Amino acid sequence: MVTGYAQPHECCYADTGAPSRSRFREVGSREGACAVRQPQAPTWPTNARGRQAAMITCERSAVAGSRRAQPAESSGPQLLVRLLLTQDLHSSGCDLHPSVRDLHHEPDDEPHRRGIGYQLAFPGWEGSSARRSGGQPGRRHGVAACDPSEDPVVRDYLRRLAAQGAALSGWRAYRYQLRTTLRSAHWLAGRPVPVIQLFMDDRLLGRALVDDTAPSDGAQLSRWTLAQRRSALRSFAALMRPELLAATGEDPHGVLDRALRGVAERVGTGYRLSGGSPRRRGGQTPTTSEVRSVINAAGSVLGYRGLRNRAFLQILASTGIRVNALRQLDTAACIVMPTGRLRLLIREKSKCTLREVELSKELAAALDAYIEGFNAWAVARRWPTRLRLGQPGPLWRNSGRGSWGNGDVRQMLRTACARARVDDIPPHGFRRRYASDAATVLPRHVVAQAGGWQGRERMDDHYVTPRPAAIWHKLRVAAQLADHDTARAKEQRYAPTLVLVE
Amino acid sequence: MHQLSFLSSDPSEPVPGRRRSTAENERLLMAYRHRRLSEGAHARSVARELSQLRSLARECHTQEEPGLLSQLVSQPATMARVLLEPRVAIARSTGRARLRAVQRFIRIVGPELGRDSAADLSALDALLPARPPAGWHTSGVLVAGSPNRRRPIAPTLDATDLARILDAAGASAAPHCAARDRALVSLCCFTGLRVEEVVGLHWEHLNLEPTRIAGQGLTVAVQRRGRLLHLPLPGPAADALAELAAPRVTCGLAVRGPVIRTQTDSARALGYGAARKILRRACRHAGYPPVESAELRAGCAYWLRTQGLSDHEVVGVLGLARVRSLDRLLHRHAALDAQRRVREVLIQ
Repeated sequence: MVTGYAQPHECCYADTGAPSRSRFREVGSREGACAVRQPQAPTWPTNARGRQAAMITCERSAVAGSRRAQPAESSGPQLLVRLLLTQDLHSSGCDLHPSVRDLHHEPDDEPHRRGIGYQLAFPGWEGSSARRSGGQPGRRHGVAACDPSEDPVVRDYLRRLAAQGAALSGWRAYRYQLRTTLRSAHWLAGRPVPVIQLFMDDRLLGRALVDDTAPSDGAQLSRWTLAQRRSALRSFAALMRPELLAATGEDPHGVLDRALRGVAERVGTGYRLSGGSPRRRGGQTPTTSEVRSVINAAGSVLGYRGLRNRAFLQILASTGIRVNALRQLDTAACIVMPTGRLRLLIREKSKCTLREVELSKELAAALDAYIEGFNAWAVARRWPTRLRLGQPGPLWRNSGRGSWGNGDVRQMLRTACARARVDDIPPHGFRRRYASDAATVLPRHVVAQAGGWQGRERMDDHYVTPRPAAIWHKLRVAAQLADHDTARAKEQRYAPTLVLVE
Repeated sequence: MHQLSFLSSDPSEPVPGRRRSTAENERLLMAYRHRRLSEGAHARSVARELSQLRSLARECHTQEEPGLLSQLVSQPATMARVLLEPRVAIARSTGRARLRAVQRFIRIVGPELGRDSAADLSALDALLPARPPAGWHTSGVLVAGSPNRRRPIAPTLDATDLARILDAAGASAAPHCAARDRALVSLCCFTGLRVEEVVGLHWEHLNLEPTRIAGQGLTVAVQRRGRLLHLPLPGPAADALAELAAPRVTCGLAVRGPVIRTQTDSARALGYGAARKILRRACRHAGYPPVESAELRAGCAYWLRTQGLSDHEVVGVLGLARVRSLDRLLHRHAALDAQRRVREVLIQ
């Protein structure tokens, strides 16, 4: 069976027509798993449902080497699609483009067994049983057939949310949570439940709010996810209050409160949800020597990739920037000051604002070396792309087109850790190490300000990890100082006696 | 904000940006203006309200029929849609200003159109989303708009950067305008004055006031929040003004009228747009991207702090209303300083 992560005609920024940052528009990305780029004015053949299902270029995952199928129709606009083949493509009974069929009929089928994943963006399919390995495959396949984003009320809500200035990631998260809640309600009620009807039944609403089973694979959701679901429904109740009030005859906030009262514990002025697994946070904090060896290992790759890896990891380790924020950095957001300093304007998490980060001379030199190396490589390979600070375009690249992907970054880090013979360091480990090392010397509010944390609580609870070695070192020094003080105190106490004896 | 462009994706929907204000709209707006001014409202506030109402009329404009405010008053659902889903990204403050303007417009013009204002206002309230009110003074009504004001990308400046921009202002200008440009840029960079205050400055607003330590200090009188403030002018700005006044003093001309003029012998003050152009040109020549007035004020505040002034003293020099405003101004500087401190620690 073919599982698709998205429905091109139905998904947020595609169906709403909002252009993405590039000249392509993004079609149905789910948690970044499926990147489908489609020109603004597509002229594709349609499948049996009358929807777009054409695809020209198929890109293989880089897990086992990259080998790309050439475009079958070079005359048409290119559509980049990643496919996920778990079983037989033809069992789906959908119209496939010849290039996809060709790809499937290659002798090296069963790619998923060797870790080569494809993703297919195709209308009519939802969910993925192959995405997460720990879940129960096929838990709620029937539920996935309905898409609540077709609900006009949901579409109105998403429009209003965008008009409220919500950040893109927050907008996507709320859309996902709303969709998941409606699917849970569908599963619990045994029939599709429009969102207006969900607000008419507070018991069903409450059960859907705390239903911690992922509709896609049956895995247990975390409490953090459930809390976000509650926030999304609060936002929905606020922004769609007139419509809900007219339909239900009751204040939607009251309905939501009643629903929460049935399934959650009242704590203070809020509610604590009963379901969900505890969120796993933290992880290993690498030491300075580990970070150094990993950077050296990653930078030892030949070509511009070594320079890129070194610059990327050095900036991560020295500034504590979030991985995705740095990875998505645009060259237009790099400002070279007349003093020679380089400032990066980093997009903050869940915000529309930018955070300014100043690079040291060494980091700026490493970045310059990467840019020069990439440009030289591009000249040699006849790529049309050139990197130049101050001009728009992705800064971190893995090829002549597009930006460096998140999966590729993680793969690079895994390879570097293996080469350096260090335990796997998660990308966030660099930020954790930044906070931990700085907090040993500097006041916490300074570290929070430097790392871009809005408050100290998140940094204290989830980032700063004191190292036992450092603790023991400081205790040893303190003991030595105490001994020294004691000796001095003894000397001072006995000094008059000695004088008297003399 | 890119998310909002989907609102105009449907070709049957209104096309934004077409200014086809009808005579009827203008007649209603003039009546509204007259009534508001007679109520004692400030002329600038009324002008802003008219601007918001015109923009709302443009939002309702379609190919078939122009956006008539009279129709808008009679259609609360359309009014609510326009308030909730603007075609272009706006700030939250703009969204609230639009709601206020609409409410006043309905209250004032509604009876003239034969409408029941109270009923229309309550119908509009019912169509607007709301969250539970946070206090007795709020109703929890939500309107469109981003909570943060969007500014172009600009780096954080310190005293060295301000000095570079000032030097570039003198070097990049024509010889007969060098002193004027230097004075303009120095007033923007080294005082708490905003650009519109600088171009509206007259020599008569400058005073020499006795100080305990430095003999006499130059102050400038500006009107803010209905109060007359006397802001001290730091050294670089005072020097630039002295340089600007020197030719007139030597020629025996009276030093009065606008400080920043279009020409040396002209009596006309420089316009706001021209002043911004001079600032942008100076930034470009100094090697910086164009910076806003807020960045220059932040750089000035940071410079004053490094000169040993306390937070409250800096607030007094800049003429800020609250110390919290200074915290906002210096937020990015504090973050950069913190980054430098952490970098030193990590290097060790």
